[in-house]
Amino acid sequence: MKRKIALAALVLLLLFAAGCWNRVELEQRAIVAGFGADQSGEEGKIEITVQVIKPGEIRAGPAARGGSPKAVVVYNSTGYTFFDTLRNLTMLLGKKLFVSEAKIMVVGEELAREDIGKVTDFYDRDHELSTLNFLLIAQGEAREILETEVGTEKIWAYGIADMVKAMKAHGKAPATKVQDFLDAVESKTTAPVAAAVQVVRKEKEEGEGEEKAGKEKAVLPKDLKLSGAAVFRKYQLAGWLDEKETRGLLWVTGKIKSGIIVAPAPGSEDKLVAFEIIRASARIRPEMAGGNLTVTVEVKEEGNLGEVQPDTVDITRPGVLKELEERKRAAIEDEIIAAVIKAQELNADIFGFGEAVRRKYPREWKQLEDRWDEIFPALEVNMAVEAKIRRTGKITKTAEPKP
Amino acid sequence: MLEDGRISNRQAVFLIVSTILPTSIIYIPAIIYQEAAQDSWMSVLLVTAYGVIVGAIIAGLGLRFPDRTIVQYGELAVGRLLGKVVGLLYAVYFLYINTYIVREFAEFTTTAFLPETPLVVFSVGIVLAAAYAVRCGLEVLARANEIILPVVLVLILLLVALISPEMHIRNFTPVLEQGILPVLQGSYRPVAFLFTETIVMVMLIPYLSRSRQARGTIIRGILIVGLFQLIIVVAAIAVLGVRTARLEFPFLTIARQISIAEVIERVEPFVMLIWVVGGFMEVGVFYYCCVLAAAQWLNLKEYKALVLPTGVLLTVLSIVLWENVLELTRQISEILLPIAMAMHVGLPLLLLTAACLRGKGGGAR
Repeated sequence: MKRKIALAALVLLLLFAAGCWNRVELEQRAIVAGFGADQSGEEGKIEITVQVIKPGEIRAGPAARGGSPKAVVVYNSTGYTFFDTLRNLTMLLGKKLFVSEAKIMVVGEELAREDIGKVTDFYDRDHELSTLNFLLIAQGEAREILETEVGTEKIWAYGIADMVKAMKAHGKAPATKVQDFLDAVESKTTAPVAAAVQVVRKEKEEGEGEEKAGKEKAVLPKDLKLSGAAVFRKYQLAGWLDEKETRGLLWVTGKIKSGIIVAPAPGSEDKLVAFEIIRASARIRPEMAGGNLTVTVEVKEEGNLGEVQPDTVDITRPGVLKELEERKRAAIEDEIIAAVIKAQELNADIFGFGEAVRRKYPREWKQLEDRWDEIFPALEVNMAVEAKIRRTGKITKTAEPKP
Repeated sequence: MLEDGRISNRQAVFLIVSTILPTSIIYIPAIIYQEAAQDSWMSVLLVTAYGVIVGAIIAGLGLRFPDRTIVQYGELAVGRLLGKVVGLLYAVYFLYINTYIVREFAEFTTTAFLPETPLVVFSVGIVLAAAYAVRCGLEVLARANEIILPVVLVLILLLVALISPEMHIRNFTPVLEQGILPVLQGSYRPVAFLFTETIVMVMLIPYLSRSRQARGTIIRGILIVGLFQLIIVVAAIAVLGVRTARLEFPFLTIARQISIAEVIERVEPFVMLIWVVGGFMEVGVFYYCCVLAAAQWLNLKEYKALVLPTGVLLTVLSIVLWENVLELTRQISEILLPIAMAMHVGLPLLLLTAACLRGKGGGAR
């Protein structure tokens, strides 16, 4: 009997023991979808922008588009550090921020130039934040990026994360996670890169005059565009890569999944052909001959002919395919060369050539690593690009007007 | 007899694995990597070899007195007074090393999952659970472990399998970049107190159903531990690379990296599960050894009276001994390490030599 009473008491206890003492209901949470970090106007402070999800507005469904309440709210605040500012935001929201669902971190150009390390350590150290978040550098202010509506996604920051993932389709921006960035920082020679994001106006500002600024400017339709890459030296932004240079970089690091290569069509120089990249792989092969270091970039690419501007190519003619492959190869090489030149200009080893040398020549590397800053800008980079065309689409010939 | 239970040799192998593995997979990859970098896996091989040798010494000693624990045969080996000292040393040592384990358990849980919950909650929780198991006796402990350990091992393999798409072979090169020295350094620190934790067998050999095969049992246990440690370290190098050195808990980070088609994600609670049930067994085994040793040393008829006081002592010590987590990690390498070396290797070797010279024991041959 005693046992039964004890058991009953225990079972009763369960009723009260359900749940955690520090639980927070969903409506009570301020779920952060994305962060932005900027240099603050105030001396020594940083400004953090957060995009907070309003859980109630999510389920409204696609029909609610246009005029419907927005599913996110953007707040910002300043503080001396990232962590400090996050807690300061609580003064605006009345809730503690829930950061585990965040997907992106946008850093403004100014702060990136000064020291991006001001925000990355907290990412690494905190138990809720994930270093799997994408890192983007804003050409301008991060705050503006987060305040811009992304039409395809109710939660805008997630839309930006989708944009980063979609780089697979074009290869013109890197998909850098916070942890990839930190790994590159830790390498003695590799320069970190991150995707660049910018605001593009849908229409030109009329008259460009300042009198039109103010209210009008705020409602001007604008979009976000992910394009190119920011190059760092350790924790400082050193420069930007444009789309072509970025793709050159991604060719070398083997990150190209797909994309379109445009090349002049054989025959007539004002017409173009476009190829789709189906698969690509890359290897960096350092060679040391008589104390002279060279690096060979091997790229193997395979793809299809995707588009031909009329009146140019007859692919059924023998030799034409070879010619096209050659043009594609040249186009790829061109991109890589552009990236190498830019990287050497910035003296930033974005490709990880140094690490490749270290892996292959660990003994010699000890002498090289301290002088890498002098070696890299003058490094001889050779290219061995192999480009294949496998298929040519479902027609053999462009439709031609009969004479 | 204080303990009437008998455990099979297989259960003993499992107990050994449970004693060493949980702490080592959570804390050790980073510690090794800080020294040996991409050659850490070699360090693990060295550690395992060393663990096997020490295990053989411990077994050699135990097998000279197959019916007695170290507290009982200490007197036979080195005389009454010294033997008593040896017995006391081990009883205290099992308590001491256990305070580290309890604290590590609590620190991991607070740092990685519940930063606002007071440390004492986790200390009390795990010690209470272990206390119950210890009161139930060795057989219960061993049988519980027979259920728990396979779950732990399968989960480890599962997590490593899930992360395999993220592995990069190039992280292993260059091999022996800084020569062999870092590999040796990398194997020194974890070796000293983890892979020689088979020392618990000095208390358990008499309760094996086939105690004559204790040597094989210990070595098998160590080899399993070594194999899993190798898997974890290889995964850490291949997935995390240089980041391993910076992280407090690389295995947890590995689990956090898992993302299969964005469907299988956020599996880190499994690491928590491994650590909680594994840590429970680990604490339980040392707890049991401590209580049993103390009871034998005091010539008690029952060890159960000691369970609660020991538990209270264990909990309190685990909280008051260290101010913060950095002090804990520093003391592990500066204080626990030399002590563990002495208790795991030095003392057993001394006792073995003494017993041989005095011609005591000899049940093995």
